Amino acid sequence: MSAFLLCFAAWSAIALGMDRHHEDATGREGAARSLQQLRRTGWLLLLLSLWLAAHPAGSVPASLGVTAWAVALSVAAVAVTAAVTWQPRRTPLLAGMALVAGLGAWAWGW
Amino acid sequence: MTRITAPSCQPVDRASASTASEQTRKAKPPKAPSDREGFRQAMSWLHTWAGLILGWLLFAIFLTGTLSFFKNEFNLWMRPEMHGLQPVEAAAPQVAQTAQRALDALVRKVPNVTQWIMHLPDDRDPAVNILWRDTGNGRFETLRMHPQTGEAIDTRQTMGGDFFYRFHFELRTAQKGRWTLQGRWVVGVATMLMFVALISGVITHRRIFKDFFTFRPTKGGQRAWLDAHNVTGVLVLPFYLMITFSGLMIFHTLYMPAGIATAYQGEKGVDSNAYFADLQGEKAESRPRRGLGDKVEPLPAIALPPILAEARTRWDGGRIGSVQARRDAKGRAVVEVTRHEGDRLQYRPPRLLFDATTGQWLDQADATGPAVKTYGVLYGLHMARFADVGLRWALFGFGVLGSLMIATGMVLWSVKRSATSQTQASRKGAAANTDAVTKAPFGERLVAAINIATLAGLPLACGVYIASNRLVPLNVEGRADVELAWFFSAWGLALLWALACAVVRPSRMGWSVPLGAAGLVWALLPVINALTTHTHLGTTLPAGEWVWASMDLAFLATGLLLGGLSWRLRPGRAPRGKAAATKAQRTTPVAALPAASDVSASTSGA
Repeated sequence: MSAFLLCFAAWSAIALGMDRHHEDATGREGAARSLQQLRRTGWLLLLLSLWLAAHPAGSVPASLGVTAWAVALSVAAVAVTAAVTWQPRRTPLLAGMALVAGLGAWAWGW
Repeated sequence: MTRITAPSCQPVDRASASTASEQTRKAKPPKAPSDREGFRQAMSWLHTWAGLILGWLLFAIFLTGTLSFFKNEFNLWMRPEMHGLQPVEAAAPQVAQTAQRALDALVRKVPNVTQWIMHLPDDRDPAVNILWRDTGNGRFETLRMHPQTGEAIDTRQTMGGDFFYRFHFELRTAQKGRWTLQGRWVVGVATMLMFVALISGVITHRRIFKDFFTFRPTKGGQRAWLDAHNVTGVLVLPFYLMITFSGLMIFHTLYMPAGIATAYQGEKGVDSNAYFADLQGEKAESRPRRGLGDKVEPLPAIALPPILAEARTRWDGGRIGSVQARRDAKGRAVVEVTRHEGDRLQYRPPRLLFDATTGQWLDQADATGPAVKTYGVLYGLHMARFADVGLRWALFGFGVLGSLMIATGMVLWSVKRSATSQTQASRKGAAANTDAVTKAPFGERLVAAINIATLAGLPLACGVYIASNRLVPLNVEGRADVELAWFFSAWGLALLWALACAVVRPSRMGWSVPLGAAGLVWALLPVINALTTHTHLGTTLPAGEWVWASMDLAFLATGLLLGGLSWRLRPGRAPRGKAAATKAQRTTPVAALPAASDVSASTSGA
């Protein structure tokens, strides 16, 4: 669950770092620098979620954790595509909520 | 004459329909040198034709494989006699009691049983399933038992979810396997082409990573189809690559038998059994191959609880999946305990070997070498036995997306070609001003027909198969095959309908009727279920039996989805938007085309 939420936040950041989606979401063109920062944040978040997934809590083997992460990665990508297609304005908000919820879910061991 | 010269007409069409951003992208000078463009063209050709030739088969394989993720649930739902079984706690000694009770019941029924394999109940299958035989090398009989009482459960004859599973990898057409090896070969060739299509697709649609999140359904026409194809393709690409490659690897011995033939020469020709034993970390003599007429001593009385208890301690409390007993090559009776498949990623799970009479631990069997472990992980990823409910639904969703990727690819082939031939026709002035239907070439009409028969016909056939499970009388001879006959008849009818609607006399009814019929069948499944069994939503929802209830609910949702699709494709609807674009291109006036012709350039190259 935390893997999905973190991946969602990460993909959103990457999407918002792209010209087209940034314009759809905010209504104006983003500066090249901030776009690049968004994309970098996204990639770092993806790496963080992978690292967390590779160290699962309890008796779950790491192989299953990483497999579940790979699944969450794709599900989150589909979800972000849906978000930027049908709710572009709310995507930044959703991403922020996903980030907070994802860290919370990880802290609770979900 | 209202004829316009082609060169002047084409660029105007493009410019009017493309957005500003697309124009700037096109205006960029091509960075790639020309030989890279040539490579991409070649890959585009490969992608198109590798995809088309076996695309229909691939769609069927992908869709039935997707349904197979819920094989156990289908097996349960299609045997309503199994309803109401209480789950057995995996951690407690109840498991051992359940196993012993089932074994006692089996021995009472078949005193001279020579071999049995017992699958213990888990959270996906509440019954004890036993395969047994009382001969040396005969066919195994199946027995389902009540986990608490050990009584046999008399279920209806059906293949259940195993049909989807078997069709998925060997195109099974009958309950007792026939042409299974041939079927596996055909599926293998299709899988190889899928792999080719995936890799060439990544190269062909080079913009997929730039347009990673881009889906523009409102744009309509070919653009929307292309977006749909790209988005369903790229977002879940790791899954497709994994499932296709592992699918190929699973039957590597079938496709490449030469290695075994060289390395495993036995006294009586090639001994592939020894290879498989090595692969699984077993000793070949623990699982001897017997001739048809060989006499085997019946098994002695076996006390299971101490054996199962020791197995659990050796696995640090891991779950037990199945137990089996047989005689090894020396005639000694052995019990083999297999760990639950959900306990790790790698397939097959480890096994412990015990002496059946003394209960003494003999051996542990598990794959050890790195190559074999890799093979096991690929196998495990493909089968997804490790997946819990959430993960399973996600994988199911990926399967659906994959089916959509194949489906949109097939439709794109048609849409693109009909757009081209329409433009050609309009250039000739044949249909420039009239609304007359231009007849597409035979090949295109044939592809359109098979598209309908596969993409709409297969969901219909699956729905009919599940409906037949409730509607075919229980005492019919060869009932399981009758259900399959329903499946294939429905599919055949869809093909006939599609040929009539697309090849013989082009009509816009082609898509909406079979899709509508499929939607109706799927949506009616919960109703049929309620009329014929007691395991309907009225009882399963209040009782919170989610496995049963979610099947009915999923059927209903599928029905509504298919029905909605059929409604969008109904004849008479204005040919706009993505849904109508399927068939509209061939039958609509040329006025609808600019939107399509604008992207035909970017599909092939960009």
